Amino acid sequence: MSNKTRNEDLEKTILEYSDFLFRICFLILKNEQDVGDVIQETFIQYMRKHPEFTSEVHKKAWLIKVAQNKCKDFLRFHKKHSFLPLDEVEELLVDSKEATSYHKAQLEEIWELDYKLRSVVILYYIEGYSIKETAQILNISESACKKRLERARKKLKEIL
Amino acid sequence: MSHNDRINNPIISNLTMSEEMKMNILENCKKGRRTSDNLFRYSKLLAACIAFVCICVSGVGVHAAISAVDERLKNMSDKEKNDYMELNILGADADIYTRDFTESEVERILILQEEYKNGRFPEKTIAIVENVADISDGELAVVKEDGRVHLPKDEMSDEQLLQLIDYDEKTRYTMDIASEEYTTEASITENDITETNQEQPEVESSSNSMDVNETFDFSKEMIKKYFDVDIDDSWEFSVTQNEGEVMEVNYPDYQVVYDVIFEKNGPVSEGYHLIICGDNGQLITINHNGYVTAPDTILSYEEALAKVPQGKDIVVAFIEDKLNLNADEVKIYSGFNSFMDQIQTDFCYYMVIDDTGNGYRIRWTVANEEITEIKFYYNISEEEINGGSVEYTIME
Repeated sequence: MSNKTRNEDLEKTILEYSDFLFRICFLILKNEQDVGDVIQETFIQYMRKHPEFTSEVHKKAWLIKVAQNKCKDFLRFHKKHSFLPLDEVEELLVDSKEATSYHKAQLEEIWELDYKLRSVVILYYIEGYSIKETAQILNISESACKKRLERARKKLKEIL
Repeated sequence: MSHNDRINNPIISNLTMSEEMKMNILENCKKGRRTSDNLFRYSKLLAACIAFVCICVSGVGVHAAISAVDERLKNMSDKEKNDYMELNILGADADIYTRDFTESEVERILILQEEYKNGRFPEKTIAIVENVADISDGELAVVKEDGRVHLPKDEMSDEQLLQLIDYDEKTRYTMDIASEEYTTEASITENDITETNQEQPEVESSSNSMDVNETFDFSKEMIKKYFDVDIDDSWEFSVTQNEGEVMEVNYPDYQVVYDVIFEKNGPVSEGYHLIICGDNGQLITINHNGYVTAPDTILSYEEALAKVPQGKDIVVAFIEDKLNLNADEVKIYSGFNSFMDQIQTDFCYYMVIDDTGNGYRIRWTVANEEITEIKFYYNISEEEINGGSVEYTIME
């Protein structure tokens, strides 16, 4: 593939998937700058490896898998400064007429979960992946995935 | 999934990335800029500009080259290491380079990186100065004040590019040291392998249980046995005892399970990962070079399928040589992993079941035609074989 075609593909991919990746990564990292770094590194990996996909679903799943792995690395090395209080990130949360205090509380509850539980909740409950797909993206067994969902459900009893 | 379960929260669904951030990311990716974060700075030199290249060099050459680079890194003085550590911290939030590379510099860096791996080093090391005013005309220098690499306005010479490559290697090396220090809380590494006996967590002992030192020695034996590689002092390693949820979920029947990792840092990276049951010294998995293959070597399903019989021949020779099994007395299944309903053709998996019910899942990297992982199952039923994401079919 020529550089020109590669750049065009990159641009198209960024425009198409950056909002989606931003949402997932922001829910994991809760820090806009860190999310920007993670997504940039994800697309750099996309450019470097230039994987061949058989479908858009496959491509999307690959991007999530890479991005969430980078989030995990990020949390591993930056635990001390990755989270900001909700008040400080509120300006990022688009004002929506539909949003209520319940939705805000729901988001807080999700953010309260530790990474392992939060990541399964995001993929399964928010992005709508199946248990099998969530397990594959997170590189864990299906039984581990179910167990994490069960634990998350207990913690999120009020909102699910 | 049941979509009735789905969380519908307008705050979440309205989360979007700003246009400015999107454009920045696009521009940075096009220019090959890595992020400023240390975590992601390992291979910052133009990584994004470089097409993924499959490195094909002879074994002897690689070992000699790695040794030369490793020697150079290990011989860094304490002062130099401290300078780099300091720069890593100072430069954490900075844009690393003061200008973009020219096309010609990019081309020459690609060539010089290879030459560096083969032992061509700069005559001098990069200048490290206190502030910008200390930089001489046309000099390439790292400035402590801002933690950035100041590139000369004019096109850089080969010597300067080599200094830059050298700087990058040394940065990565010192970051690795720092990173190891950060993670030692939960793991046992080279530095304390000989003194770990007193610090071992309490373990329900059995007459066959293994301690860290025994696990380490056993791991080296296993790498020699299965991959015919001698692990010498040039390898970095860690032995980590699994805890908590990892144990509960993955090894509910075991008391102690170790993860052992051997890595060769350097331009050509290599690694072995072993999972060993400390209760009885059983090897659970031994893996060479993780789970990544070069995407441009991945075959179509039809092409990969056509190579399955060839892989079987290699697997048969392997089990007879390394596992002392008779191919006539085992059942062999083969299959590919699937991810998001897509068949992954980078690896073909062969499940070998012997007449005692033990199973050996052998991963064959299709493009390289190499065995790269062996996973051991102690007493596996035929029903369990198809329990994972690989769908096996028995081979004649």
